[in-house]
Amino acid sequence: MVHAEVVEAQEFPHLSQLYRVQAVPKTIINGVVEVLGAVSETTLLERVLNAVGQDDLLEGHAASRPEEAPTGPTSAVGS
Amino acid sequence: MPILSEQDRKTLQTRFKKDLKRDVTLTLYTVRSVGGLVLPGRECQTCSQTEELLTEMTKISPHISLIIKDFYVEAEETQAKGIDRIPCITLQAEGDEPSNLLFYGIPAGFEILTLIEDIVAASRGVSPLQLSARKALRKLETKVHLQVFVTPG
Repeated sequence: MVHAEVVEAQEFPHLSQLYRVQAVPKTIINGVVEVLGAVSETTLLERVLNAVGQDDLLEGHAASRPEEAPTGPTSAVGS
Repeated sequence: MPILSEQDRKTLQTRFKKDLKRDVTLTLYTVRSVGGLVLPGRECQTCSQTEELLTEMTKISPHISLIIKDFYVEAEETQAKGIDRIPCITLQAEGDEPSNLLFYGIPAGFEILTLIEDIVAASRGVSPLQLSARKALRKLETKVHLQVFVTPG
């Protein structure tokens, strides 16, 4: 059910522009939801399940720490 | 001149020897040139470097092999796999289905680590995710498409 792509942002500028990639890593879920930065596994899982409306599956998975930032560290994409 | 330094090669050799269990086949979708020439509109800036890099990796471990396919010649296959640009790398461990992971672009700089970790995970057949995350993902009813944008760093 999960297909993943790693995209080298500078090599595919059209795609980077389409998803407004100005810093990396940036994850796009189902072409719509944006996750900026190197987030934890739990945060990414939450965003994925939320994107497909299956938040209920989060039960049993360790909830993200409240102090955790919604976005993780990023690096700017060079020109 | 090789892309991987002698030091990189030694580090990878140790890592692959320790962690690779099953054979892993990498498939590179690329554009093959004829006498150094590529048809206009089919130019690919990093295809030949990607091929060189992956070929070097196959020489480091007998568990890694490489299949090279021309994106334009294998149009039907690439379409079926949803591959729409090159260079593109896919991987498959012996006895497993092809992985649902595509690498678009050259895995240069720190990005090579991502590819290496995925080769190791595929070879060992063990997901690095927490058990509870795997359980949740197994119950997904909708397809999830993740696109992770990176740079070589």
